[in-house]
Amino acid sequence: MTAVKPIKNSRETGESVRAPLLSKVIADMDPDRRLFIIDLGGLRSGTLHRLAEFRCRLDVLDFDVQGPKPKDDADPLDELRTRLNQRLPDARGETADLLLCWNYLNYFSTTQIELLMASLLPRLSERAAIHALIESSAPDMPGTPAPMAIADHDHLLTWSDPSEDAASVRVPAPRHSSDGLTACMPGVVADQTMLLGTGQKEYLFRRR
Amino acid sequence: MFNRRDSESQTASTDRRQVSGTATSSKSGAAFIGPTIKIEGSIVAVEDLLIEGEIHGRVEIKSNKLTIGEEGRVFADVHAKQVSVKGRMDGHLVVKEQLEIQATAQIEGTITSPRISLQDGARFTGSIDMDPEAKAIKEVFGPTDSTASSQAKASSKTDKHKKEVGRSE
Repeated sequence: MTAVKPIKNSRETGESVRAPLLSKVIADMDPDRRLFIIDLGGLRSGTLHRLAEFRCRLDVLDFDVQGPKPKDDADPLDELRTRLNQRLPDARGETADLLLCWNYLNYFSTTQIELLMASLLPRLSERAAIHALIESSAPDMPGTPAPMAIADHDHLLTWSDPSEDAASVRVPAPRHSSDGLTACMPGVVADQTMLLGTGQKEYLFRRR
Repeated sequence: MFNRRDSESQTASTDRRQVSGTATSSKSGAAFIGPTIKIEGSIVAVEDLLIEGEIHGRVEIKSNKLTIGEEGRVFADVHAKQVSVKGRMDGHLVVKEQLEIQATAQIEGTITSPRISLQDGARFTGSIDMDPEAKAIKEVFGPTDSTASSQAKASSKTDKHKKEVGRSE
């Protein structure tokens, strides 16, 4: 477990990223209705603070994308399936209204995304939204997903790993296309897409 | 296990307990379970409690505050009025009023609390329920208090909405 500290533009506040689609999803939430959100990332104060305005259940997977190093003979998909099963809390008869993927899908192959969605879709309601940020222009990206949180009504906040080693590790960005994503997410359609100033694309998927 | 004042004011029932230290009052006046103490069983208290030791089982402090200190390791179902977590907590946590998760906390399990404050750096895996109408709160503390909490939350939302409307105008 590694703690993260905000760096980049400001060591105190992190880097702000505009995310209008997520902002709209949250603005449209009914404060009088019980909401259920699944978060692939870690628990962050900004996100918790924003969601506390609602009658909300938040399942936090704090997904370790690299995870424990797979054994040589292990199937990477089996490893992912095992980690998902370990991390997913009991559904307790509820289905989620929103799945927050943040920037995690950049760190999965299309096969892994297919498995991820096959595991998570039964946990989502028929009207559920899936939010994700996809690297679309940069050729590379940090070696691990930068933590993200909701900063205010329009923005997300992102941090970098404070260790110099981690900050210097870059990996190729897969730059998943819209068609590629929907092809590996059966039962889901890209409802809205927006190109952000950071070069990332903000996606809002919905169940078909 | 507990000092005399503690034993007078609280019920501390433990099954199969293993105690290898002393429990005294902390500086804050809360009953204190020290880092060398390991308890397997149930703790029921009617005063504030600071845990720096290891607990397996159940902790029930329905009208007071529980603090799990940085060295505290609680593998238990916890019901408390207020909770502050600085150490390790695995289990089901049901809080009537307010949960504080400090930066050093590591929590795994389920949390039900109408109000939660979080310091970034804390690690959590599991499910958080911030719904004042959550079934767990009603089951543990009864329906009256959760309704009041819900109304307080709704009132807070209304105030916030008014402020936002005021700003946009």
